[in-house]
Amino acid sequence: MNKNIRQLTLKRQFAEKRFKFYGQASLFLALLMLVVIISSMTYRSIPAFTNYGLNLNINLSQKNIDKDNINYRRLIRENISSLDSGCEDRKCRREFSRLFSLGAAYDLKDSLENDPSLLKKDFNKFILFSDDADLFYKFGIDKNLPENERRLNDREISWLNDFQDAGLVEKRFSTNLFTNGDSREPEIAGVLGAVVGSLFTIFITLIISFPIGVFSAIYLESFAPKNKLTDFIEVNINNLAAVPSIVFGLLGLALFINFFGMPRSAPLVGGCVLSLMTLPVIIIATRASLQAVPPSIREAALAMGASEMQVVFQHLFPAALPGILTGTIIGLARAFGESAPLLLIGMVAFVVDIPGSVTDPATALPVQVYLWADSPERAFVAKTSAATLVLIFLLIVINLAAVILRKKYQLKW
Amino acid sequence: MVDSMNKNIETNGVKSSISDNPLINCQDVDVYYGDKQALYSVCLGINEKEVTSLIGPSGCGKSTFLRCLNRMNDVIDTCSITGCIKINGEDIYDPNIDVVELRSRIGMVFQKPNPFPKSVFDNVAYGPRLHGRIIDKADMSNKVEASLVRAGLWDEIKDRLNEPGTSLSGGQQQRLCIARAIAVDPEIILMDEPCSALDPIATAKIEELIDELKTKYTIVIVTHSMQQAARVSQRTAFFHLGSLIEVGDTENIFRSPENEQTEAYVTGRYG
Amino acid sequence: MPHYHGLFVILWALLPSLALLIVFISIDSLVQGIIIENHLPQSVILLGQDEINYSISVLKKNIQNLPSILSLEILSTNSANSLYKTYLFYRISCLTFISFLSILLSFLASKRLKIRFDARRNVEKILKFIFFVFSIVAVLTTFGIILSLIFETVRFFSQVSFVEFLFGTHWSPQTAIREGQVGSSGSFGAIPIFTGTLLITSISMLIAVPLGLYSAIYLSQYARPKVRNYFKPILEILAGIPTVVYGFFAALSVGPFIRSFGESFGLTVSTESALAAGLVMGVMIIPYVSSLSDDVMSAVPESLRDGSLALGATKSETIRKVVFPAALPGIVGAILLAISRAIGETMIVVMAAGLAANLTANPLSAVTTVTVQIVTLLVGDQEFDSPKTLAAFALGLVLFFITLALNILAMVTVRKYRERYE
Repeated sequence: MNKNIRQLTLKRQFAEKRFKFYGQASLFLALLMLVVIISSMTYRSIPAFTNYGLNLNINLSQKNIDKDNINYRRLIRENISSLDSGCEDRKCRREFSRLFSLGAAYDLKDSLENDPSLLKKDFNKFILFSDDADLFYKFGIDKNLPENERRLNDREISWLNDFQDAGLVEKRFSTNLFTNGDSREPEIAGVLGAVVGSLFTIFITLIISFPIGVFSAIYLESFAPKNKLTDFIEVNINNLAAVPSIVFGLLGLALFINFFGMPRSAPLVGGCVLSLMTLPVIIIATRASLQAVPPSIREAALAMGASEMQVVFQHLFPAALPGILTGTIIGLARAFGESAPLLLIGMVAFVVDIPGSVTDPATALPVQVYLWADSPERAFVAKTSAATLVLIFLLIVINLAAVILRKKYQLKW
Repeated sequence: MVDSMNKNIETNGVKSSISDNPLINCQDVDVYYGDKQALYSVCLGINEKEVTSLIGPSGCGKSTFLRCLNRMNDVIDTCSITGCIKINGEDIYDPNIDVVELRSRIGMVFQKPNPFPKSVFDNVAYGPRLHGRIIDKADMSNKVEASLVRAGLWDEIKDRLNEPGTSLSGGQQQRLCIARAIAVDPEIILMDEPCSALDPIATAKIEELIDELKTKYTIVIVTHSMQQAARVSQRTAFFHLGSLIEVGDTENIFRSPENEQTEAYVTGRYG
Repeated sequence: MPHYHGLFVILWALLPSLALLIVFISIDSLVQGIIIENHLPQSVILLGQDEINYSISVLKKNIQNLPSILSLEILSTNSANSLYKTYLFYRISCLTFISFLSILLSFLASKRLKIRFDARRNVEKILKFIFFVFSIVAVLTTFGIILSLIFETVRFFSQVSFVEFLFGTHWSPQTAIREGQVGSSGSFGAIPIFTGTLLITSISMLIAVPLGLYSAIYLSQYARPKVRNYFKPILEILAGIPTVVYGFFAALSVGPFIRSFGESFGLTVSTESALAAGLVMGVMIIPYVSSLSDDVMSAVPESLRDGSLALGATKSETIRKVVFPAALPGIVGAILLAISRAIGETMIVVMAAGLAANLTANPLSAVTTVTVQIVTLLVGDQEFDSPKTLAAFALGLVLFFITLALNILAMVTVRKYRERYE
């Protein structure tokens, strides 16, 4: 009998250790996934911050150049051809110039316009390679694949090797990602347009959902009579907080675009849709903050002859403000990372120019990530990863702002 | 091995009479919660098969001391204990001691009745099931019945065994907790103000029960009611601000306490 | 209190007019459509509804600019002039009406001001009313969602049978492009979509529930307060990562990894396997399970835990036999909410799961979900009124009601749990 007890005790002790281990292992696994995702994105985004280019010596002084009518692409091509491409037919020349980024022409234009003296002399220009060539220098290419399955044929590869042998190839750190708008060319594509679009959208979200949310919460918390209608409103708010975001997109499509006729793919519409989503979050956070204010403050104010509304706005609201702001910022952070509803209302515009107002077509950063992820060009993998890092970074900044705000202004009751 | 100590020990200038076989023997027990000290060098012996009550004003450390006896203070992270507590001659804070096994030999009843949200039967059977001493279903039924009988609850709920323990009245719940504690056949039962959440009638029933139980179990009871201590216990220990001030036969403590502070407390001048 | 008097007048002058302005702006598009439709020549009307819709939408864009209207060459010069003038007249009359109303009301309001007029009370009444209206917005939103979804769904079911949708097993929404093609060549049997959602949700729950629960158990019962305060927020970061990032990670790394892993065992695995999407979704959902479960388990009264420990139970036995059963309703509520979240998740599945409506239970194959289909049907060229577009709304309605049911169920279970301990 005693031996059985002994065995049982050992079993129980082992079960205890095993149970605790499961707990630790689960926590560890979950955190590991977080680390894996972030580091995977970081690792894959590194190539996006460097660009390979050709150090080209351009001499325009000998040519007759009509200042007002310059074909920049042709200029580049001619200067590059001087590198003895060995080309005879047009097709070959076109292949050759396609090794270089389309953005190079705009680059050259900007340089010449900023400094017209360059037309008279020798100067060096860093010409960006196109994404295929760039990837070739970064990762190499599988020569074993048949030519037509590769992105670069043998001739192009030999040119690229020649450049390298001639010591003309240089790798530079690039901030393209942060300064440019979207582009079909991965090597010059950037997120600036998307970030600005996101900011416009969030701005609209803020100015719609903050007043409505805060005042609704104040009403429900301080003025609403305790009746069925109020209960019904509260139930609705709690339900809305858990509705999938894509349903809001459907609502936006049916209501804002089809019925109200608002312009598609404008931050205005995106902001309206996201504000409906953020509204319950702000209401709930505001109510919680108001409830946390000790009733003694309210009683003291009332005892001094303030009206109910004066009590609310001159005492409760200021006291609850840090909590309200924190909740709002967190709600906006969630909206900042949302993409599903924006897809439905058409904020998928391919926007090269940075949007200038809330009615210009624009896209949002998470949507940009989605669009880039869909692109076939391999070079977009690095850019997309980098864009996710930008997105995560901005979210961290926003959330940190909320935490700092809360810590700094938190009143201890 | 049983220690036999048959001397009058002077500790902290306090005379206490320890009979030949103190079941529980505590020497120089200090308890800290973080940096704060809660018990100062407590030396106390608890005799077998009698009721010892711990009295004193609130916050004096009686519950803390009680919880040391079954190492329930281990659950609190910031709590640290020095000194020696021996039960049946074994140091219970010895690293080789299995805490789980120790606790199965000591029952505890808490201030607020805490039946599990399970049926009455499952509540009582909880301990025996865990420890695996009873496997047969019929044996288990008998055990549950015996425990409930001994706790004075059987007649009232013998046909409600499947109802949740939480559906009973306050007094019944506490007796259920006692039955639950008895079911594991402990040597010692610790009670931490078991009646403070109960009405006078339920309290009376429990005090009756304690009186019956002492024939079989060693009972240590913390109480803030001096009347209860006087009614129920044979020995009484008076604590104040973390120190054991006086310990002795209940009659002596209440009729002729030796220490001034004890006298002040039992005559109601403070606390 | 003089500022209250001024405020009183201002509120009466501005608010009704503002409200009217909002109404006018909202129905502007509708009114444009009506005016245009009344101006369309017979020649356009005869060409059919599609042509009508196209003309309307094009004219809407240019309605404020007479030369543009003329350049479109849809209307005769007379009609174009009439259209332009009619709309202009409409707008001017609206603005005039609003301004007039504003002036009238401010006049009437100022007349009410007398020395003993309690402006403060009145202003506060007005403000309270405004706040009340604000709080209705949430209700309006819910109604808006339900109404718009139902409206489009009803139109959908006028073209596709209810039975086919709910019970059909073939989903291929390519519909007739030209009018006159008999019936739609598309089939709208949604069963494969529902099973796909079910498959991916199940996989994600298989990951999220054990990992989430055990993490919660460890954090609430075993970990020291410092550890818990540090790791609980970090775990919640998992919920804060935008789902596009998860989706991208799933499509880029997890999908191909599972594929090559499976193929090394000789299995056929799609890169868009349900397993890939489900795994990543599961990770995202862990904090939903763990946070709530952690809270409910911490809320189980310490006396119950102490009671069990005092009887000689180990910590794990106490958790398994006392704490966990006591917290069970709350935990079930948390899991229901997590399921609801998983069903409604869009981006991870759009990027990592497939588009083909496969009716299968094999996690290694590609399936599609309700949310993916909603996106696919609506992103791209939209022909309004085509069953393809409307199907998205029907799916949206199903999604809304199922998540609503789950959320309500979760709320009810958690409330029952709270009643036990409070």
